[in-house]
Amino acid sequence: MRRDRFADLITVLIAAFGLFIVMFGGKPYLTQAVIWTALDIALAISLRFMLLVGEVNLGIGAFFGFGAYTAALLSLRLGVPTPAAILAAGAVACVASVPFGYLTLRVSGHYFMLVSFALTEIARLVYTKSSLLGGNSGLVGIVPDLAGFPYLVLGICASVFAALVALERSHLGRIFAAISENADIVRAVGIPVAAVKLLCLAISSFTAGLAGASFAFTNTVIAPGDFGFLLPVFALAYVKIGGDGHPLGAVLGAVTLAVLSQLVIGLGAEDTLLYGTAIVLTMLFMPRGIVGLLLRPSRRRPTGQRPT
Amino acid sequence: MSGVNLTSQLLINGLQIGAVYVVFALGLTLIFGVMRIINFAHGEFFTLAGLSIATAVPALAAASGWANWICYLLCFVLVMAGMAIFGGVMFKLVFERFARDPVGALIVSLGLSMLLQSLFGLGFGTAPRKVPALLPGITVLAGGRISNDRLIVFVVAVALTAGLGLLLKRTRLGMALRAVAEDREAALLQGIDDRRTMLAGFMIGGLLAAIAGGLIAPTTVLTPIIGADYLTKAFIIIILGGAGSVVGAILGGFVVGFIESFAGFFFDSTFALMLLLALVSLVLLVRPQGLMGHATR
Repeated sequence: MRRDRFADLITVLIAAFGLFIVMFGGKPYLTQAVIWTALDIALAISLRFMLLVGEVNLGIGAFFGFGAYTAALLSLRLGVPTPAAILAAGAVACVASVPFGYLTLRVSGHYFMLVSFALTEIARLVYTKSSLLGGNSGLVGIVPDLAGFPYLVLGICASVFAALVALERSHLGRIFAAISENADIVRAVGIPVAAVKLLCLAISSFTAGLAGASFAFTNTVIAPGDFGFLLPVFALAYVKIGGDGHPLGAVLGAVTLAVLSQLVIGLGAEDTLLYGTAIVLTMLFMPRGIVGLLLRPSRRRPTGQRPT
Repeated sequence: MSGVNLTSQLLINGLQIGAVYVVFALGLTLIFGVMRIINFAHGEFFTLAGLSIATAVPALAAASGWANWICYLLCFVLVMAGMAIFGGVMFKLVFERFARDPVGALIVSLGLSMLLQSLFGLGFGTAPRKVPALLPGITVLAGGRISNDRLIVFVVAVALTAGLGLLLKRTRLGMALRAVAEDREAALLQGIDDRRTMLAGFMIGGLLAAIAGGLIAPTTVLTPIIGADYLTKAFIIIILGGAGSVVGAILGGFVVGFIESFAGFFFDSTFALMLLLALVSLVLLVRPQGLMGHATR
């Protein structure tokens, strides 16, 4: 518990540092970098939220994309104010996730990750064919209509983070952990496992939609290529490399990889090479991630199978 | 397209695409059967073999002056030998410790997939590659036309599928693979070495992906990221047919091939994919374990 407090403190300090850069950094590029990292963290924490019930949601790329396109259309076509467009985008992603989850989460095991992967890829293909969504070239001119937009995005990311962590530590979070440990026992005490998983997906998709909408307004340009399956894989990289034992892991992973990828791109290589290598090495040699080193350096779980 | 019967043409196209999907998906489903994991780097076995052949064949043909198909045959055998070793190394280095750990295997294989794709981009370049046609010409079959190369692909893919079926039914290794897939503990009690069986299953599975990649190299252009397309299709096939089921993978592969062929002709390829997603939803709704899957929860 004390360790948790320590990690919470570091999380708050990192967030404060980000805010400090945006307020006093002076350079637009630095502000942009902080916002992108904050969006990465929001996406990673959404993905992590479903890992709590033991499901890997690769469909997060699709829900992020639904959010981005919804916000863009609302803003461009209907002139909806930015905050309202972002909120509506989250709601659309959330609603879209329910039928998807209803179909896929009833079957335990591998189907969810397979279909969620396919969902992200197919959604990306659909964007390229839709003239309403601008086809391959996407949508442009998605400009936020308020001056303090960077603070709005940071506020959204911070609230999403805080809300998901609060849920994780609530009674619901304990049910999540129990489902991930042994779904049969949870079912046996009368908790509807599939419904709880669906709720988990809906919440995670809502936050992914918010992040996607914020992404659209941050970049002002979106194209199908932004929402491919690399998006959930990057989010997974943040969570695993940072460590999935504590929400701080998502923050540390996103910040570490953001800094590293800047260095690697400076050297002229692709960031996918870095991300891939980092994921494989972490899984093989450091399965609890950076947080694992930070929090309990003495008690490393032996590399091996989880209980099945 | 004068003198061509449209229906048989689309049937032939569907059969030919489907046969390659079957081989690719069989590899994935075999690995799933023995290790209970989904290998997201399966597409990279496909890509590596295809790109290696597409690079080596023109080089060998230019250096030796031999006919294209001789060079292809030679390269095919060498590349497949290399891919078997590659599969074994990947198993020992990475996959062995993630057996029966679906989430861990998913993450590590996604990372591996990304890492390999970048390496392929660096090693082979990102420009699309293709092997020049082996036996130029067209065969007419039941009112439909098929290029000779595609006919060969189809015949080899069907033979391979039949061969795998025989291997699983008749040989000791095949029985061991099926036993471990069905019940690992019971297989262990029978004295089956599950590590070696998993190694064999993984190598055969990876080799099937590699063969699929090598087979389509003369008929399609290959890029370092083409594996992801095939992986998406294979997932759909596995969900349709049922994870771990050989018959299901064959059935699913041809269903996907036909839908792509017909819907792709009358509408377009994206519509075909959406139709597949709708079909997947339907199957998950009424028969979640897949058409041929066992009734495990």
